[in-house]
Amino acid sequence: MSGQSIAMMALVIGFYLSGFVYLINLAFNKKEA
Amino acid sequence: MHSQCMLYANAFFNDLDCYENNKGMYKGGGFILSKGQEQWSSRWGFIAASIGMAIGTGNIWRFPRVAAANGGGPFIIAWTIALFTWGIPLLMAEMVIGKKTGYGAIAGFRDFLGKKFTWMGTWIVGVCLLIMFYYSVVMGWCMKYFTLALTGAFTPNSTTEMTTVIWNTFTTTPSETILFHFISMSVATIIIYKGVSGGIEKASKIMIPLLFVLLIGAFLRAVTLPGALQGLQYLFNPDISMLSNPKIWLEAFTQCAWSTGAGWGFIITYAVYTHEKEDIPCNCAIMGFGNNVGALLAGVTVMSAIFALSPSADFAGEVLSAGNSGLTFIYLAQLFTTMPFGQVVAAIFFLAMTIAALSSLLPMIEVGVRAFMDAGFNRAKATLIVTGGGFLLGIPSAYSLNILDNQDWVWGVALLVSGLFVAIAMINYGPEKIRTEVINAPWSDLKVPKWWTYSMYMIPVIFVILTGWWMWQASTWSPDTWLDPKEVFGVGTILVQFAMLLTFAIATNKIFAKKSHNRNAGDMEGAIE
Repeated sequence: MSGQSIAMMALVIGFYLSGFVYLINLAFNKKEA
Repeated sequence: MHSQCMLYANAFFNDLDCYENNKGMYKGGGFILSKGQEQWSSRWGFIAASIGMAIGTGNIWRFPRVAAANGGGPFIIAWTIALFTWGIPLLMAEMVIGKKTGYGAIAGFRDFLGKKFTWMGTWIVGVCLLIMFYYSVVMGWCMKYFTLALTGAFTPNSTTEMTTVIWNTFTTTPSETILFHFISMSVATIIIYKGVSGGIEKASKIMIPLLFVLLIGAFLRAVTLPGALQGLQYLFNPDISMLSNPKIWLEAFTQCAWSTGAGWGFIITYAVYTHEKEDIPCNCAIMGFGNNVGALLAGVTVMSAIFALSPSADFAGEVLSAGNSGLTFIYLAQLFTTMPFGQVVAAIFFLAMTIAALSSLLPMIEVGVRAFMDAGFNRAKATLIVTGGGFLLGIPSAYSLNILDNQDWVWGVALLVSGLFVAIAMINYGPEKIRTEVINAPWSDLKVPKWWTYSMYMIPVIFVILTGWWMWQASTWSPDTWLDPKEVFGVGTILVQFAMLLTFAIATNKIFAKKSHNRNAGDMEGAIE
């Protein structure tokens, strides 16, 4: 697996996982609607 | 055709006195809640059900195949842009309609856009139900394969010829496909019958964490197989110069449109059960991100497994070009038999497929049930009508793969039309007004910038390009017969079936609109009366 592919994988998975965790955290640690 | 439509519509509104009696309401900030109406018991319940709605079989069997066939990395970039310009904006728009009107898609469109446009809501519900008829059959396949894996039907080191025989035997035995279609519909009926918080929410709170645990388990096993990196290299190919290829963009937007659940009427329906101060932007962003995280997990798992277990790169290519059902039920079923503990992995995989299918089947049914309940039926009657009808009308797809493929093709494209209708509703009302006053409400966790407004204006343009491209593609697949209505993947079959649904929706427009209590028209400044 090339370095560029690893970078692309890290970028994509990092973006989605951090985004998902951030949103969940925002929804549940801020207030309950 | 016309008289049949009228008869159906009259039956639909047969019990409208009951409707008038049941629909108490209050108004506050434009939000309406029916007296005694069901609600999600918690925000987590709503989000779990919504993520379940978005993550379906398409995430597991379509995304990896389409991503790999369209360059991998470049496709993922285009798919991400599609999420922010089509998927999440439309989910927000749907939630606005559901929350603002307190009705499902049919009455929701009537109140949001005006009585003359009730037919657009009927179209959305119609398309969703037509997909539901065959989707239950697909869930039956997943369930059958789960039982096959559990009972050791896949012998170690099976060949594709052996798994092809299993698949062909199953799909050409209508008693079996119809039985599993019946079981799928029965499971969904029980859950829907129990209501929003006691049924859908409770089931989703169990299914969604379980689905993610199963996907993560399969993911960890797949990426640790020798040779798995080849699959990841394929999926995350970094050649971004391929972004200049329009096909990649079209496939990415199509995958997003079909996978996020935007335009299906799901979130219009689910939003009816939310609290007055339920956030729109953060919840919809969670749905979109949750959907794509699920797809990526499945993508990495499937691609790793295919490349690690295939005897050659050519064979892996053959697997990826086998279509959704071929990839899953013939090739993956065979590849699992070549690995240690393959039976267990196969059982986990097909259980995950079954859960993903069920969590998407539930909102499809609920869209129909909500429409009947808006017309005055109680949940028990509405559930029996929709699921009973769904079982009967799904039998042709259980009987013939050609019919199922045709229905999947026709109503898949119709979803793009449904998305267009949602965008039209927003444009008519004034997207900027909706963004500032409804979406960016004081209690919203996130504030949406102006891109949402621009997205609403872009969606009709994207619709024309996507639909035109799919039609053009279909005409090249079968240049001599593309206008023949009997051609499974033709344009003719789309035109004929669209015309039938459109005729029904327009013919019933007045009936669906006039007897209903138009309680919200005064609030809707943009509504056309």
